[in-house]
Amino acid sequence: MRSGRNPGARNGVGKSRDAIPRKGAMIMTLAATVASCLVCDTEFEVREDWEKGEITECGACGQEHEVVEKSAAGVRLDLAPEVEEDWGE
Amino acid sequence: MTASDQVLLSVTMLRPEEKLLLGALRDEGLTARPLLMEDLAEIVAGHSGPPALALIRNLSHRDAINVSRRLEHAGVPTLNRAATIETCNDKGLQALLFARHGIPHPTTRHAFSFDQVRRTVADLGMPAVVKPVSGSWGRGVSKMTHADCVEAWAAGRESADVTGKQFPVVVQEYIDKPGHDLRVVVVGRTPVVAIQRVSDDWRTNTHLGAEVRRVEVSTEMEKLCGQVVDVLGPGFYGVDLVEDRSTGELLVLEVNANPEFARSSAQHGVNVAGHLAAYVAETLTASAV
Ligand SMILES: Nc1ncnc2c1ncn2[C@@H]1O[C@H](COP(=O)(O)OP(=O)(O)O)[C@@H](O)[C@H]1O
Ligand SMILES: [Mg+2]
Ligand SMILES: [Zn+2]
Repeated sequence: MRSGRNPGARNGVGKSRDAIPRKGAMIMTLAATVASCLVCDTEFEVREDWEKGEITECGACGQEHEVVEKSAAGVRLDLAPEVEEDWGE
Repeated sequence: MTASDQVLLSVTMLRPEEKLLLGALRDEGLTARPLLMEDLAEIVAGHSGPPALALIRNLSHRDAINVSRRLEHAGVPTLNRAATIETCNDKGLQALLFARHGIPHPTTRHAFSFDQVRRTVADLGMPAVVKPVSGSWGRGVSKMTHADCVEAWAAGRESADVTGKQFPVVVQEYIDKPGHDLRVVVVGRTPVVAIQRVSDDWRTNTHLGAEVRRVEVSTEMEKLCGQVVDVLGPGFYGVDLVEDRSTGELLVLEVNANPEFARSSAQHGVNVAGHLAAYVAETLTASAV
């Protein structure tokens, strides 16, 4: 199993969400109304009620994106983590 | 000083499920916000004054245990409690707990090696079920109907886990159930809704496509859930029950400490998030006096 953003990060506590944008991450100001999918470039709506940690799915390809940062300046989206082996109810 | 209306919702990520919960908590007049792993450092350092309670909703079992343990040590009560989460994340520990407290459960053994799996399956008789002690959504749960199945299971597992780090597993008596199992959602001490999970697959996880049908909470279900709460403490649980077709008896199959509810709520109509949020508000009011 691997995690989309942190390959090799096996220990939950060590999971980091780097402050420095890496390749693939996307930053938007709050004024932006659409973002484009990091995989297929289809545009989807940037919602004001998004919260940090929230997951949003691309309507076209189904790729999940995570709101990794939200501040007065804007939001940062990245690919959502992939299912890991210890996930579930 | 504790901010008595501050509730943290600890998540691996904020799914629609947890978003519902956040909304429900706020509707109760509580100040609720998501807690991601990286925010934990600041909370346990105590810079901001401890929150009144943290709801643990991490998808990752490892994260759930890590977060709840650290919060408890920092003096923040968690729902569920760390010890409970640990027990629920291990089907072997659950079996031991059920046996010790006389809670009806299929006969379950630990196995620490491939050979022990072979012997235990032969001992219990086939069909038997082999499961990883930690797992969800039906992953890795396999039914042994013939010695060849055991060999196939062992071979597959051996190639994925050469050094046998994934032991123990549990070997369990197979219960011939009537095409469904039961999931009872417990909030605090109260069963708030019961559903049948109906499937052609012998594994009736909704993640594997089982359909949801609401049923009344029977006295028998209530009694079993009561026994579970007595040993685990009040909390938020998905209690899974199976009916043994040959005896009509209900058994506790497992208790989930992080039950999912978004998809099933839409079908059975019971507002699980609302019940949970109301329980949290009630608990906080009670502990404030
Ligand atoms: N001993 C058993 N007898 C009959 N069915 C079982 C048994 N164990 C598991 N199952 C079926 O498989 C499903 C998944 O098993 P479970 O132990 O709940 O693992 P998970 O934690 O992955 O959900 C159960 O919901 C049930 O339908
Ligand atoms: Mg289960
Ligand atoms: Zn896309």
